[in-house]
Amino acid sequence: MILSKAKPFEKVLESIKDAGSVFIVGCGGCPLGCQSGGEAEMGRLKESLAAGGKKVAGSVTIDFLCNKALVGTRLKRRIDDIRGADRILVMSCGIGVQAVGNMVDKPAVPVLDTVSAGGLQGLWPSTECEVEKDRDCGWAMIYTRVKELGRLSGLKEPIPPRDHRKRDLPAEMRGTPMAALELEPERRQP
Amino acid sequence: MSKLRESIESGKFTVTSEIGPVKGTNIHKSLEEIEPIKDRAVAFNVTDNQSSVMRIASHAVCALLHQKGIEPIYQLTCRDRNRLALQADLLGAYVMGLRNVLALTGDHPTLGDHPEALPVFDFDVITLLQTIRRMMEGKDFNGNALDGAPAEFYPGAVVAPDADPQELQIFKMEKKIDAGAMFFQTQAVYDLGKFETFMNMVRGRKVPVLAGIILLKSPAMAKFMNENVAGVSVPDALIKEMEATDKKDRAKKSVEIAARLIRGVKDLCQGVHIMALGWEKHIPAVLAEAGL
Repeated sequence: MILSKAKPFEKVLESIKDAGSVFIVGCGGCPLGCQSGGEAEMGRLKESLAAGGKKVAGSVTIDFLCNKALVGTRLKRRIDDIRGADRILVMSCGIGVQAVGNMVDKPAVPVLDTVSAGGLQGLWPSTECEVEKDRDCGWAMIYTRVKELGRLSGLKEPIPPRDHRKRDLPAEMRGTPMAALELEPERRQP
Repeated sequence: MSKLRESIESGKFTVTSEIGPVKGTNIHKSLEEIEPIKDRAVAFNVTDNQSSVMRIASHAVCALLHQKGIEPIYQLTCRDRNRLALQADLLGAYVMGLRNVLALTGDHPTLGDHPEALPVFDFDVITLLQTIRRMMEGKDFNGNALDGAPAEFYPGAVVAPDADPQELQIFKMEKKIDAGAMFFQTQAVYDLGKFETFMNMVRGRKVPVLAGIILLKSPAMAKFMNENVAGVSVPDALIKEMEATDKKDRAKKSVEIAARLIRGVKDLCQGVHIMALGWEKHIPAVLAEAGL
């Protein structure tokens, strides 16, 4: 899951300062889980926009904005409302903003910030997180759990460092239908 | 062989100390700090962007010390460099004459003065230690042959004996030993009972341990460390002892406590690592009072 939270509303207003009306696309996936999206948040956003002098031309929530095929078919049904807006506001992570931006010829503007769930660095000599005081240390939690399972010897094995080439889609997967769905719309962009 | 390794392996109770590189180019300040003690310690750690605060590069200060005939311990963290830079810096350090390397994970950047920085951590400290060992044998991390191996590196690591829970520290320490750590320097030790328990648990691995000694400057400093420095716990009795001392006699008391701690660890481990934090001028008195 990708964690997200609402951008400060002044920032949203700043990014649509030239627009009179907006169409809002919500995501029913991760933002629902971290309560940065969903019906209530959509309602709040509409109220803030109205207070900020913006007209809301319409809105739609799509289950997962990262599913680009789904985004295309669902947005098509609302094409008239979308045409009537100056900007599209997207309540999702960056993938959803990209997906919406690839489907419509209007600027897609994010209203959420994605938040890193953080990683694990070295073992800290305390059961508290090194970075955030009131959080538990991940390594201490892992150690306790693995010990309970009687599998500490596994933790003794050195963990090989990450292969950063894996950030890119491997060549052999580029021809798959999944890759086509994920990548092709972006390639079609002028 | 480095003087540090020679001293430790000869069975002599070994003293090391450290300097924090300056934030800037006024390097004479760092060098002046160790002037009164340069002959009283076998080698000096040079920290690597300590506490994630940007400072002059550790290897540059190490090379300067080496040129002056003072033996450095090159501290190298995984925080700021990927695997290419770590290995390149190690080779560079070796040709500049550096032999002792202290491998560390490194504090997280959010704790320092560039909290927005990318936390690199491409390697963890275990992989770094394994890589140093592999390089000493003539291969880089990926197994490519080196044209000249840094065969005489003396890699070390750190451990916090006072940490709670101690068990995890010992687990990680054993991993570090398996990965190639040949000596350990510890976080500050104030609780001799806890340190003895720790040494009893690790003695079987026969890896030399230099106990960390931080000069206590005031009761406030002790309380600050208890609250903010993970792995350090100053017992209440010591804080009370500092509180009961007149301000003008604090330095004397500080020396007395440090010397007492050194005498207390002397039969338990192979040496001490003294961190004076600006009170370097008191180190000769500490050593004299500790009988070293």
